[in-house]
Amino acid sequence: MKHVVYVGDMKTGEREDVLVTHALGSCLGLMVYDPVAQVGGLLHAMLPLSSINPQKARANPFMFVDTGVPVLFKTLYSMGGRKSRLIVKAAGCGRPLGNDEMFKIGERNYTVLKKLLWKNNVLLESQDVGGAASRTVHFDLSTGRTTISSGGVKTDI
Amino acid sequence: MNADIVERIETDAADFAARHSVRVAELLRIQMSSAGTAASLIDATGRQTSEGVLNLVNSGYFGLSRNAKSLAHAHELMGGERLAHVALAAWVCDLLVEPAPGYDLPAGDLWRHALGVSIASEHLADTLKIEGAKSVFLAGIFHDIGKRILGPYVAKASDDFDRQTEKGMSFEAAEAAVLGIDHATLSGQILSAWAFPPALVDAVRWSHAPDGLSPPSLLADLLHVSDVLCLTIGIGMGKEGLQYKASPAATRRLNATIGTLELVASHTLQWTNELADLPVTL
Repeated sequence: MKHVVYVGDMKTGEREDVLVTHALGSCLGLMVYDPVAQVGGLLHAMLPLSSINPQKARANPFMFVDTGVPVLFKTLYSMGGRKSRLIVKAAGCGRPLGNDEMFKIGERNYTVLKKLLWKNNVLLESQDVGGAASRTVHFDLSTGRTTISSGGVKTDI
Repeated sequence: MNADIVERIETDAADFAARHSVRVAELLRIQMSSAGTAASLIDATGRQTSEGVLNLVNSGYFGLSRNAKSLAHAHELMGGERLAHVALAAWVCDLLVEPAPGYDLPAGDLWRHALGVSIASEHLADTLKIEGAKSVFLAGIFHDIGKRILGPYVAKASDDFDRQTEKGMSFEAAEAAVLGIDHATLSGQILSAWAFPPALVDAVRWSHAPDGLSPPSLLADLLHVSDVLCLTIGIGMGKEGLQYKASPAATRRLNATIGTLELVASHTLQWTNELADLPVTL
């Protein structure tokens, strides 16, 4: 079954599910998959740090990278996923509007993600981040195949 | 090369404005009307409009102390000016929910973007304690109305647009280069024909290039920064969002910090989703 993940949201699934997210600009798209348990999840987080608005983060942890990522991992553990088997891929974190320092939300999203993964001894298997492109992600939970569509071109990561 | 096209586009915009001018004038009158007259003016647009307005008015975003039971009650709770702005938003929703050809905006995205810019502008003004920005919600709702007119022309010339934007030209500059006029100018012409306040018209007209206004307009700066913020976080990005030139000077004039922008972004997403999901399509 196909599930669309909107901005500030996360969805998990198993086997025959396909998770899709559109219009990844500066937002982070994080895809996590356990090939043995065949469970996976996709997070579409908008902003790097929840400290900017803790109240919103309590209501919706998926809006922020630092609160959304842990919830994604913990949800997968509860579904039978094991940390040692998880394959983690990232997309997005771009600069859709050029180099204005004030709007480098994408770079800050990526920095927070890398710090969070590094602290928890998790490596990124692959990524398609940065640049001015808008991306769509198709994440097939029967195989873990992750396809990025951008500017009419499809690429597996 | 552009004279004929520009004339056709401007004629389309003038026809569009004329077609809706009576309705817009009636809804603008609500600002100065009594509760009873305001309710009658909204009711005259049809039962669905009244319900759409009440749905918006009673959303958490407008923060009323009590639920408005009727349009007259809404007038009492929020005042005529605010009610007029909400009524105009409910009315124009119908025109903005359609897909916007040429801009790669599917059904609903232009409306979501209009809401996002309105909400971000109000939060930005509030957070930065900017006074005199009461009309910024209305400006945000209508800032891209010109896309309704220009969209089909952009779609027809998509190859020309791709050639211009591949050279690094902003989408708005490409509109001017290919078609001889950009959508912000058209939005300004339409709002001017509807007798919106001149400061609001100027802000919309210059919302993509606020540095061109002398003296600068806080309203234009608020619209510009909010527009950039919404495109950055993916609210109505479309084709234009990838080719938008942000003005660092506008952000500086507002004294906005990275923290301010991210705080506003966090509010904007939630409220945009809530308002966009309300049944206000008429």
